[in-house]
Amino acid sequence: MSSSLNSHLIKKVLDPEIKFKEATSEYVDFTLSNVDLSLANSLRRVMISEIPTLAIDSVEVEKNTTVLADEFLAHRLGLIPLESYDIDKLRYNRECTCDNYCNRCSVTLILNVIATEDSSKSVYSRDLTIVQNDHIKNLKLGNPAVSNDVPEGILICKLRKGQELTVKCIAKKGISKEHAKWDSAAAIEFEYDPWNKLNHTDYWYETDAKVEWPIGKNHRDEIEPNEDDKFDYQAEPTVFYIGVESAKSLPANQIVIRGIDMLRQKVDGIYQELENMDRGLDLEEDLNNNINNGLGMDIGYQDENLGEEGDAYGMPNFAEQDIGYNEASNNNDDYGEANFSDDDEGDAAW
Amino acid sequence: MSDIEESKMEVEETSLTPTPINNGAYDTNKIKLLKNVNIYDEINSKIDDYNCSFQILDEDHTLGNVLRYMIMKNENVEFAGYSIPHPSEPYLHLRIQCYEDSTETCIQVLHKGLANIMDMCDVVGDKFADAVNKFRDEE
Repeated sequence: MSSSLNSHLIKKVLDPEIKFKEATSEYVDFTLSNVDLSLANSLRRVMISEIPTLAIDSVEVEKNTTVLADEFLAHRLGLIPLESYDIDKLRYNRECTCDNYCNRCSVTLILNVIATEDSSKSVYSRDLTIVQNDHIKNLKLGNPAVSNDVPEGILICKLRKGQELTVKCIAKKGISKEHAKWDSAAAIEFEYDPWNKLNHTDYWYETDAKVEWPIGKNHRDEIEPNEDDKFDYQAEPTVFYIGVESAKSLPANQIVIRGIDMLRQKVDGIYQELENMDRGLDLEEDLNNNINNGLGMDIGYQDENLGEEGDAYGMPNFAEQDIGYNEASNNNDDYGEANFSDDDEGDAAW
Repeated sequence: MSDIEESKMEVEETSLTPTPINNGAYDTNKIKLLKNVNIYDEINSKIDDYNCSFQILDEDHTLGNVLRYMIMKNENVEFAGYSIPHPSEPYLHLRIQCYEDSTETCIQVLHKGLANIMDMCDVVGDKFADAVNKFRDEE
């Protein structure tokens, strides 16, 4: 029944294809073909919000006699892109075993500027100096990212003569789902079906949408449809025009590579957990069978003991332990009745 | 789904996920099997090996849509859908219903779906690396 229903929908499956149009360290432009819209969109979403980078997360202000308030400066510092190529070598601060922060989960940067000249002094992101340690030695990590055309980097603030700014910045690993300062991409372009043959877009217009809307850069890659063409209700988008503009913390092609990798990791995490869950379900089934055979009390009892012993020896049998507790909390009839007298005794002893 | 219907919803969860031994590399309780998703709706409350609802923690449309698509590709599957029941709760609900003559259970279907997405990611990743090299050679 199932296969016959779907068989007429099965089309010839083509391999996914990628073609580059442009590629620099700051910008890549390519077409992704023969994948489903859902995968292309997942990739877009991951590239926007789930690629880990490094950004200043807390600022210890030692001295600030500038006209800008501490929190104002802290916010500006947070938004400075830092080189994050080797971000994999750094832990998430929340997953680290240290108390506050350490070399394994953070990078420290110092900013120390005093204006001594009569003219105003500009403080740029280049002035941030990284505090070296063994862990980040020789890694592409933590330096303020600068472009070739603006070598001094981003203007942080300006000082009058005699003003001073001394701050210690703690940069941590994060993703832009949490805060936009961890965004690896400044912009992601995503387009399909530029002639709107699929009618996924509804153009707003004064008198005529065709005249009022401009031709985009991807229009000439596809054939312009005729006015009198019939609407193909079975057509699906197959070619996706993707452009990735880096925010400088990562090269543009790395954003795509890591995006694909993060999506895979995400799925892999659930795959593993599903296996664990499935194993748990099988064990529960065995346990239920045993209970029905009149062995319920013994097994329930053993499991509770196992849990404690397992912890003590550092070799817990997690699945069984969980089920043991589960059975108890579910108040399974066999189990509950069988143990009733035992429980009373236990209470009396307490 | 209207508010009234939603308030009727009774979700009983089974937390069977064992704590992973591999030092927290994967979240615990990442995925749960829901029992009695909607007790007032006979069709949707059908729970057996071939009709299941899952609850996945900390996932959104990024995973949901591509997973739904991949599961629907499976010829044993009659229906697959996902929803994010409440925008301020970190849960994704996934419903899978197989045909009566299905050769796979829902868990097998989901397993296969996830594996297929990983394979697809691998292929796209390889193609991207090839395309980068090809573009560099042309330059």
